[in-house]
Amino acid sequence: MKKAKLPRRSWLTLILLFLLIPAALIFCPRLGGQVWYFTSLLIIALTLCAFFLVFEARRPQARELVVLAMLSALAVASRAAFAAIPHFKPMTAIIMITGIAFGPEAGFLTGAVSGFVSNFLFGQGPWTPWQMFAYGVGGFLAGLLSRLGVLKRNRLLLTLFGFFMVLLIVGPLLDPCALFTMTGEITAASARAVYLSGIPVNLIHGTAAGLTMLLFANPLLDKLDRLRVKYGMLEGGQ
Amino acid sequence: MARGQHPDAFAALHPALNLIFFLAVLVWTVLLRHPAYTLVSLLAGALYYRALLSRRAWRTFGALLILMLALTALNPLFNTRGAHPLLTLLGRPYTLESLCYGASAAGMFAAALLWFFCYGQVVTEDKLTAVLGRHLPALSLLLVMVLRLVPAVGRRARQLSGARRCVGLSGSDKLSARIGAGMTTLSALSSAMLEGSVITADSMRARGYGTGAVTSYQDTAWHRKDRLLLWAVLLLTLCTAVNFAFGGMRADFLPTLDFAPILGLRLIPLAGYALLLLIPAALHLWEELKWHSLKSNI
Repeated sequence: MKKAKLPRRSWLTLILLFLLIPAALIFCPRLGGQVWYFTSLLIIALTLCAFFLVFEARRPQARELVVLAMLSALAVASRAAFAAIPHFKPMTAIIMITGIAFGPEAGFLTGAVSGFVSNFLFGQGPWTPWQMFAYGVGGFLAGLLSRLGVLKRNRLLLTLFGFFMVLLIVGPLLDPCALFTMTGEITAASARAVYLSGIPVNLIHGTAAGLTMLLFANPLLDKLDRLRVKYGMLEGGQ
Repeated sequence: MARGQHPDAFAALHPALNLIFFLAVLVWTVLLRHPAYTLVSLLAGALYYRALLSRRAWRTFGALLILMLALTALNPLFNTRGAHPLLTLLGRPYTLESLCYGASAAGMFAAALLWFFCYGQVVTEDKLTAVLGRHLPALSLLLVMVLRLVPAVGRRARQLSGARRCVGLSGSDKLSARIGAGMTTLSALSSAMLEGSVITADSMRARGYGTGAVTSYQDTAWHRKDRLLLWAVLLLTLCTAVNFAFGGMRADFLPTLDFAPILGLRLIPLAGYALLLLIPAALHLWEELKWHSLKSNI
């Protein structure tokens, strides 16, 4: 982060994060009626825009761009490597590994882009923003915790992290889409129903993420380290 | 207007206009809960979807109808508020208001889905990147590259697992063996693809990536028709926003049904909303009519 002069896009990001999102939170409930779906969509859209603008403002080099694109494509297409096992999707784990290797912003970006692109293949819908946001948050938190030194490159730690991250954060972030669109009004009962019905899916998803972390996190992190040493790229955590 | 091959007259307009239209329509569809407005969005979306896909649309309509009925019937089970209980189910009241709310939410969901399906037909990836390319060059390049790499990665994964099968390495049916085989494939895959990506990046830099402005093969000039329709979309959106601000589409379902009446002057904004949503279908039909009249003159 340079101190000198903030580029125009950075200003836009700051306005988005600290002015428009609180404004949306204050203003939208006053519209009356059931506008929670709209409010949450607006906040998700603003957050995504903020991260995208940060990325643009950094003017990423070709190498960074291509490697992030490749990791995102690996995340989306990783299902093809597990064609023999139905419902086994290592996508979330690969996004989290990207976050660990390249930092929270890159993790968020890879998650959001992977969510968007996978919906180009499986069909866009009202769930798209939620998926982009949930996967983005997964990558972001993984990157943040590893940057803070909480998440070390320990196989057991990574496995547990992957499993609980999906079960407690990414999965529950994916569920509200059903909550908002299916039952409309949010009551304690409808929230409980949606979250309880989401648990089996989240358990499968979490197990896949944990297993991928157990078996694949260190190999992929080593490969990324090798790239960094061999080509001298992405040093100092960007 | 020569804009190459497009599914229909609306898709042949300026890509930014397509994006703005769908953004406006999706926002209004999600935001306006008055039954009259939901109905207009549902019907207009269905009309345009039918125009785009012709007979193949009916199967989607059938599936959406079943989905809507299921969502409507399910809502009172989760939500027991409402002044008029119709019956008691599992010791909980099944209320009329909650049923109506379910119908409204289901209609909104189906309408949003229909518009998303139309969006998928009209706004292809190349249009999206043509619009974003100038303002968000890095992001749209990232998007294009990921879209191109996903099939490439899938192809490589199949090659690798095929090669492993040929040397007899993935014969076991046990789940743990299959997961292990998948991980080995994934590991080899990422080695190969990551190494290749750095080479690609160096080649990009050597060819001058990032030195000039981003160009696009899409025709991104604003023609007279585009500008006219852009003004129409913006004006009708503004008209809807003004009506929204003054509570013209107020709709409360719970605890009792209470909708803003749509009579007299209140019909004008509704007609404006319908006009906005019917733009693509109208353009499509107009083009069809023109084509038919030309054909019959030959």
